[in-house]
Amino acid sequence: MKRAWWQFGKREDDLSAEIESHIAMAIAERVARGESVDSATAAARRQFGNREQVRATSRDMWGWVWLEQLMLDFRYAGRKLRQAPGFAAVAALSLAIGIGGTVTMYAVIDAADIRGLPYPNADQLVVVEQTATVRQRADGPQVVRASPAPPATTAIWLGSTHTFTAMSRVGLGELHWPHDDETETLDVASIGPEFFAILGATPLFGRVIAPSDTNSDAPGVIALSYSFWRERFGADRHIVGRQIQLDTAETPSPTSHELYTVIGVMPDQIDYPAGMHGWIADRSGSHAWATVLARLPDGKTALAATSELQAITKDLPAPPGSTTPPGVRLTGLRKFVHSKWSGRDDVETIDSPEGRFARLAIVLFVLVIAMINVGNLLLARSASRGHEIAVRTALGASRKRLAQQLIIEGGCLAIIGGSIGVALAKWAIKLSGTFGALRGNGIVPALDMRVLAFALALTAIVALGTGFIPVLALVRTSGAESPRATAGRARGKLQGALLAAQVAAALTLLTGAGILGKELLRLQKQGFGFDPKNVVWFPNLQRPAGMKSVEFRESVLFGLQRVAGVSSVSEYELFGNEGFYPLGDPSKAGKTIFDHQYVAIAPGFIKNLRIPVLAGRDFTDADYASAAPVALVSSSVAERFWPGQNPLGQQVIVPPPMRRKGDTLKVDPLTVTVVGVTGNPRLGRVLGPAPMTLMRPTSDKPGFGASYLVRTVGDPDAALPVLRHALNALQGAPLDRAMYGTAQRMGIDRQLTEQRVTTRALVAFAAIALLLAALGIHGLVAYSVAQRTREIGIRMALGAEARSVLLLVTRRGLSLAAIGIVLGVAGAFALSQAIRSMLYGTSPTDPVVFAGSAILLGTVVLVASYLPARRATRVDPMIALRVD
Amino acid sequence: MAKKPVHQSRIEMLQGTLDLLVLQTLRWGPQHGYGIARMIQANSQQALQVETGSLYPALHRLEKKKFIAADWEQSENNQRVRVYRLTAAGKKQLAAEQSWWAKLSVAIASLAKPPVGESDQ
Repeated sequence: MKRAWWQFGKREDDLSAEIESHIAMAIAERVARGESVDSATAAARRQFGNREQVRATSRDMWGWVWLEQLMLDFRYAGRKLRQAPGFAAVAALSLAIGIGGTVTMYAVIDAADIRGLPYPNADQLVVVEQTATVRQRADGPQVVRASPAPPATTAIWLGSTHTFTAMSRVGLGELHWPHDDETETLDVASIGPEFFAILGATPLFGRVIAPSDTNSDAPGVIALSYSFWRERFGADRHIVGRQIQLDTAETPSPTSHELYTVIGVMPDQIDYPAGMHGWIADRSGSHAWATVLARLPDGKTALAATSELQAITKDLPAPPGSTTPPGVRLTGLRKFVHSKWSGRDDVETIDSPEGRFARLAIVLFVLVIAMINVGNLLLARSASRGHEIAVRTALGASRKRLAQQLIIEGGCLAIIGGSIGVALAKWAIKLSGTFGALRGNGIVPALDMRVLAFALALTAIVALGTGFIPVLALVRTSGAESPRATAGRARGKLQGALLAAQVAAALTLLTGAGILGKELLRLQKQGFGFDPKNVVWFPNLQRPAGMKSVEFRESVLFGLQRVAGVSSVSEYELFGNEGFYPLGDPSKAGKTIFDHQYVAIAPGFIKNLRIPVLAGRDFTDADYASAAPVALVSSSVAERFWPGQNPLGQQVIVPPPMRRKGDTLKVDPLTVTVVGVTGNPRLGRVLGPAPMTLMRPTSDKPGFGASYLVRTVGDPDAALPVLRHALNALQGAPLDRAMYGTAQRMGIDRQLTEQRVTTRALVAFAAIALLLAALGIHGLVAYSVAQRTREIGIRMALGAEARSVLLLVTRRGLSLAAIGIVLGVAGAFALSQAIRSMLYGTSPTDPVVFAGSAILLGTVVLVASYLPARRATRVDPMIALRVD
Repeated sequence: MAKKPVHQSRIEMLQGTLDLLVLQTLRWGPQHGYGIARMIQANSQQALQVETGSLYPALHRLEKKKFIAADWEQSENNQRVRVYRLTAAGKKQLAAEQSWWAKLSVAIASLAKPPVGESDQ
């Protein structure tokens, strides 16, 4: 029958007519029997009863009965779950962790790999940078590094008008905004008038930067970002025209501050460069180094545009530190936004698309385990509810209704789990946003509509999947003579398979967590060879024109030392060379570029970094003054070069550092004498093997790779603004964020954080899997004991020993667990291959961890079986025989 | 909360029985609601009083499941009445319900007796 809303009225009329005819017939009959019309009418109506109720019941049935049943089922499920709060909590929580983890990982992938840029024809947008050929680490190979370009270069690019549809400079800077008794530092981008047109963005209201705003004498104007406007100006619609005072320096001076007029507010989705508070005009005559944002014309390739720009760029002078003339690199905006730091050290390996998808696979695996666990728990409960189900069947409940009921119970758990999971994900997403590798790549995961939709879909799938497992067992009871027995058998098989899978999964995760945990312990124990607490690292400071490098170093060391909150300052420079070797044995020179680390250190370096001196002494002032041919070596060097001998007084040949190509041949190798042995400092790389380190007193010619290390007394973040201010003064120019990176803590803690988080997550998953496996075994054995109470009673009455009774009730659980353990070891081998890349000193198949995990799991299984089994041995035969 | 489920479960329990009775009655030929009520009453020696509040919902439910079909007709005393008749599916359902009823009677009868132990599983 078609049921459509337009038929509803007709059906109502039909119903009324039907009722009226019924009453009319009843009256007619009564009248025929001799009653008066009036009394017959009254009696017939009274007998019919409440007409409205008849109508309401019919109406319900027409349209809403399914909804009504659904509501009833939900209410019933809620009541059932409340009756077993422990079960509900464990089930919902394990689903929550699975869902939360999956949603978090999806949010990261969504932000990094799926979410498009909110600009029309965004694939035509490119960022132009200049490239230089440099060494990023002195011991590293020559690499091509892209960076913002000086004004002269960008001016030439902007002149090549036929290359792009439009171009705009984009420089990054900071402005200080004193307001309400505090000074806030604003991140601003200085842009050309074409900038927003290139993006295809129009302001929410007000206007954007106009060509006249970029004249060198134009008054300052600023377009605000949506979030800044909302948070700091309370979304004031009358903001346009307001003037705010912004300073280039933190402490305002008459020359540094300027009034900026707010000209407009940009919409929320305009977020390039990421996280800007506002955009200011790039006024001509500015000295800012900048990248160029451009839009390719239809049909033009990035390659063609690159070669056009290359042709006009190659005659410009080489960038500082570069061995080649400047080159040009075009990067798609999306790639640029999400991978600008990927060339740096270990960041690339920590955060890559492959890594992200691998981690999504791991959390999905965990989610599937959680689903199996919950399904299994539901199944076990459905066993104890066999009675209830039999009664309901007898009372006419269809199998469909029962299945619906079971799915809804699973669904309730999934919905609770999903809600908690989303809350967990919200927290975890916020946390992941602070990870260096993600933040550095401009990947800002957020719990937005699409991620929420994903969470919703995931929860629905989990709900169906979880509820489906007990239904599987139910469906197999295909109307046979003894439905209960069949159900029991089907359930038994399925439950057995799930239990073995559960044990296997628990062991897999346990072993994986054990291996990662061992690696983390090793890393923590290994340490860094120095104390990184409160150390801030300033690489690549810019020497003011005309100042000698030695003078600059002196002034920085001296200047920073006087900054309040600074405990000590030092300088070092890493060099690449062919690898030093003990006198007379060149075969011990460095074999890989990372193996040897040759460092020139300024006075105080060892003390500043608190590198332990294991034997001999630190350099003295006399060593520096006389440029003595002395060296400190790390203990790794001493062990490799002179095993079992006293390293002090030994001599090492140091080939000259390679500062520029071909330079090495002009200087003779240096012979130095070891005066001290230190720990193994890891200056940059934390996770790999300890580098062989040789330290020399710094020369009088610091090179491009000099880095300054500042140890602060308290929290280094608090000292950063002051330090930056001091450095700006010392350099005579502001630190260019895009070029050199702002002052940052040595990347060490971050490298460890991600390792730590992954390990902890895996440990948590393993603990939950273990708990659930234990509950599963416990439930199975307890059920078996309950089922066989009579049998046990008889056996004991006949003289069976406690041991044979124990064996009887635990045999099935233990043999299933044994199958699970075999499968789990295989699973652990597979998992260990997946996490191989995260291990640096621990074997992925560490036998101690493998054996230990299996033993731990085995013990848990035994205890979980023994507890309920013990009950069986205490069965009093007399009572047992009276059961039922 | 307490009231509604009780009420609902009573309807649910009656439902199967009343359905069976309606189908059984229609086996004798098409009939309108009033007639069905009267026939059940008469055939059960007045033991079963059919509530109209249950009868019409039951008729509409059976109609929805296509076990019975309905048409408007003129009655003998020239009244428009809605007449129900058994469909082919209804006949099959009747047979199924009869065997279900037989089983249920046995089950209830055995439950009403004290249990005589339980076979080992």
